[in-house]
Amino acid sequence: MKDNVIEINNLNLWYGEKQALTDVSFPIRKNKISALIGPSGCGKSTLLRSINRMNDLIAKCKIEGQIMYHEQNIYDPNVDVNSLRKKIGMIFQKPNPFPMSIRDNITYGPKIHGITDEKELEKIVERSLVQAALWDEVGDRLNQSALALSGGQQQRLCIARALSVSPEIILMDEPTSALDPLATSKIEDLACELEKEYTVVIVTHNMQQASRISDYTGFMYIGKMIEFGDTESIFNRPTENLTERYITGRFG
Amino acid sequence: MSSDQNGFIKRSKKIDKDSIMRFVLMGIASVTVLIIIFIILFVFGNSIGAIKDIGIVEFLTGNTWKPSSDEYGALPLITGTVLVTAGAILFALPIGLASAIFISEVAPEKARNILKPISEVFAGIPSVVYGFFGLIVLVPFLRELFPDQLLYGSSWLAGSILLGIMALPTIISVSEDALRSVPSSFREASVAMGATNWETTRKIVVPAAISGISAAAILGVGRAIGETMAVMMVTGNSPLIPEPLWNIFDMVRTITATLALEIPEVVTGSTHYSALFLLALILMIMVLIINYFAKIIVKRTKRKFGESVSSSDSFISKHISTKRISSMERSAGLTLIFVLSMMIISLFTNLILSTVISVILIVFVLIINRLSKKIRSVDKQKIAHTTLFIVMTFVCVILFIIIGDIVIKGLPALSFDFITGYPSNEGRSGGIYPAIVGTVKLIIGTLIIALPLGITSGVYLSEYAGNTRLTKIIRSAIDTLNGTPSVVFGLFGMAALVIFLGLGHSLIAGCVTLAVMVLPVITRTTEEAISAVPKDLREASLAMGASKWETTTKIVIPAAFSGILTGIILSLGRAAGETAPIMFTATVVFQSSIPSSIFDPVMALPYHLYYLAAEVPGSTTNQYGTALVLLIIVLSMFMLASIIRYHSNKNIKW
Amino acid sequence: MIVAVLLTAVVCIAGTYSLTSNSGSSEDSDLTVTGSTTIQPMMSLFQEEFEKYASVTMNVTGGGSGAGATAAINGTADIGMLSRDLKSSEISSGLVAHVIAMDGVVIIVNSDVGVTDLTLEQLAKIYDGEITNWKDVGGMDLTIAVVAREDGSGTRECFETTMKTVDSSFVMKNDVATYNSTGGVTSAVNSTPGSIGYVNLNAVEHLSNNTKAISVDGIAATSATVTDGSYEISRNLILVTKGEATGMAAFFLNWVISEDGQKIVEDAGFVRIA
Repeated sequence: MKDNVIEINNLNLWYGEKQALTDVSFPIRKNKISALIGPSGCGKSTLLRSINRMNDLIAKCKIEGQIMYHEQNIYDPNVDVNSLRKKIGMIFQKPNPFPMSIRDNITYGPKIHGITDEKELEKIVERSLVQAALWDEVGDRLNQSALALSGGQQQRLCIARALSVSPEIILMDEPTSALDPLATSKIEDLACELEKEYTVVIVTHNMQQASRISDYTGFMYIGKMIEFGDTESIFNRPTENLTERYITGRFG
Repeated sequence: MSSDQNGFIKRSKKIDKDSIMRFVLMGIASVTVLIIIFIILFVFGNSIGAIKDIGIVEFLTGNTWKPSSDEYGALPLITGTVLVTAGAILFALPIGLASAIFISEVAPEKARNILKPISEVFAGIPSVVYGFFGLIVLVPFLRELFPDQLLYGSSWLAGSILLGIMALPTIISVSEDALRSVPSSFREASVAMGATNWETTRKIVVPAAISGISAAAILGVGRAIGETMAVMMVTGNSPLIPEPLWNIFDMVRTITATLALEIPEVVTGSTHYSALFLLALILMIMVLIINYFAKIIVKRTKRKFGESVSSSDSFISKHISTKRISSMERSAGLTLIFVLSMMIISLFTNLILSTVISVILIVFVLIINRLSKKIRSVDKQKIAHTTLFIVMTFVCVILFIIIGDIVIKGLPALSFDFITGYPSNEGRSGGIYPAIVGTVKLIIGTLIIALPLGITSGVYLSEYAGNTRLTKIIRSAIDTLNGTPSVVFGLFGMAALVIFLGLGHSLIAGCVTLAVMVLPVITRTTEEAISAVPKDLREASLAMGASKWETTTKIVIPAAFSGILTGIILSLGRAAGETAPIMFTATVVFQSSIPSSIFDPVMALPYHLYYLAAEVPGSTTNQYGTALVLLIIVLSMFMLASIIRYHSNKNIKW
Repeated sequence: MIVAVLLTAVVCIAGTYSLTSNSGSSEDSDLTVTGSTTIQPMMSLFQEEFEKYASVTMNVTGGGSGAGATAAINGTADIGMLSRDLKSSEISSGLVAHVIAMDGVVIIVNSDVGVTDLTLEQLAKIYDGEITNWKDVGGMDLTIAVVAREDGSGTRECFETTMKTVDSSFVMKNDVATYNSTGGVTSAVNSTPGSIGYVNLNAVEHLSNNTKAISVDGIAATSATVTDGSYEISRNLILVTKGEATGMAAFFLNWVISEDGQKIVEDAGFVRIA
């Protein structure tokens, strides 16, 4: 479908001998939020990290299957993985700003990808911080160290940092699990704002979060995608028994 | 990067920069490996003659070392090396670790910023100065303390104490870095469970830092075992095995001292010459063995404490639960204490009294153990912290004594003419200007060569090389090189650079020799510093599309900067203060003008000091003046580096 | 960083090449002297004066008598310094000796021992372990702490050769504190009660208060007694060249034997030969 910015086809992944993902297939739709839920160890983070090939960093990782992005399999040897990651950004569970100033954190990405003009960089800094709903709070102290910010602010800084290179897709790996409810709700609001311009895939431990903000949800269990569909259907009319049992809290 | 609208399809024409950089780094790291192989071959090649003429078994087990009567029994020398080094580490490891713990975990921030540079000042004191301090202050002091046991004063005990002091800065500095890089989340988790600061330190922080601490210990042993000049001045150098074996008051001779004493006058190519190289080879093998065992210990400790230290919860819960010491471990410990005390006390008095005292000691220990269970954790912490404080004070006092001695005796020599003039009357009067210039040139030249090579190798080992067998071999080789005595470097430099390449005694030969000598320290500490940078910083950078090379240079290395700087500081100390490597490759004792080319020889402060003390009687004032000037130069550099590191640390906290 | 490394490599390689092609020119105007550390201080006095006299640059390095001979043989040095006579193997390699001074090996003791003279036999017995207390040679009741130079030292060789003249089976005992320099020996004797050691003649005028030089067989070590041979423990200090000396080396050697040079020998604390 033309609306699918990513299609995952029969993805299988092994860590050494152990198979972590089995035959996973589902689409990611443009300008929508897709959520991956499931109990601990079901492979949702692994799946997420496959999309921007962060799993390449793990030595014993083997992959079969395809992830199609712009009609190209991202695992094709011809693909420049660094350019890929420019287009697909990632936010991690624990905020990990660089030990630098706020401004330097955000200009890092653009500089890497060749932008040197001071004025342009300043514009990017402001734009990214505005989009990450952080500009009002830190716009006047960009030279301050990023490590001086609160946890929630640091996470939003990481989002601004990811936005600075103008990605198409933003992957979020349990972005609010380390944050307080106020910060969490700010990030959730932010995700909803972001989907207007970007495509968001979010892994979350928190079912309610998925049901709150996502358009599509995929339920995973022991490395398999059990069910995938629009959020409303998944939560109200799940077709698989397993999904129903998880949603209703019978296990988790 | 293509300008394709999708922007991520490749680059079939474009060469992968990461692969190139990886290749380049590997190439540079191989230079380090090649140098090591070269040196090993050099030593081995020169020792073949002795293996043929004397026979390995005869060499290793023979009791008499008297080359002038054609007797080459190296057992007393090997024993001497082992005993002195073991004693040195026994002295330095607990004290060094305690000081490191104090600096990292107990001392308030302001104190820490003063104490760490202070402990590094030790590294700036040249070995010759340590040697003379040992001869003139330590040895007579020991003789006062134990008049009945020490006839000469020079002894195994003096050697171990002096070497221990010399190894302290390495152990303290590298351990402290290791302790400080334990994530604060560990400490927080532990304290959150109700553990005191001391319990946290003892049970969580120290085990988590064990890899860095063992690196510190290995580097410290390397420092001790390869030390030549200082140990030669205080052990008495009589090639005998102590009687009884644990008699710390007997004179001993180490392998390094033998090399330094005998190589200058030996005839090149003779059996004696070969035998000396065989000694050097044996020494390097000993270092190899020590490193091997140290690695096994680290592996065992890591396994006990949980392999993935990054999962802090499981690590902590495995560890903070009160462990009952098994009764076997307990009786083993008690037996050890009993035996040790028997050995030491019997040196002073007869057997019966020794037994009585040792038994009393054991009872005492058991009582303390029983009582300690009743002491509150808070009080235990007070006792522990006080002990640490005392140890730290002790270390500072030693430093002040050594420096004070130099300052008091050196100050009268300092004058404008002394610093800007040339020596006269064999160096008893006049100045040391050419030596000052020479030392500065040597330091700069060494850094230019060793810094890029060492940092690159360290980066390669930690970021690019896997944990393959090859990298393990490389690391062992680097650690072995660290244990190679400075005099061997001097000889290697002489044979390879001065003679073979025809450079003659020259600045460049000296710089290359010194660079090769400090390469292992820089490489290792760079590697450790970079490994300590948390994984998630790298991930954040890579996830944004930065290449591995960009991540390494823009994120990882800056974050590891302070640890790398430590390695540089420690090497600065070595480069500036070592005599043996430059003695054979670069220095002369007198120049009437400053040489203009790097192919000319130079004067140098540590060599000048050694030369005055050894060959020019009646030059005491100028000796101390020279020592003082050298100290001032090196300490200024250290202070500069410390300031830089202090500032860079303020930005990094994770 | 890569740039720095490549630059360094280029410099090193370039330097090495330029050096091996240069090795003729720069060394022609330099005089390289290598060898005995006993002679080294005196050589620096020579250098101080000679460099003004002949406008030449001298490079003087230590390493010991053995190293001096080797360097002269393989051409690394123009002149070798030796504090002993040439061995036959060194002579057959073409070395020619030029005696420039004489040196005495002086016996020093800690001032608490209470002895001012020893016979050669007593010395030999002290050093081989037969006599262990100063009272056995007319001194205080103190254990004798024996200090010596390292195996291979020219000074030690001279001492032991002389010991062998009164006891052909002389072998130094094992528990002796050994040092590789005059400075080491004097420091040790100075600070160790009951100690005895041996040093070069030039050390005598700088002994500290705790240390005294003693006479041997009634003869004290002085220029006169060394020159006329009545002081028994002595040796030649020689400079060696490969073949007969030529050019600047010959010029230097002549200067050393002249009044200017010999005056310096005396100032340095050794014994003139002319």
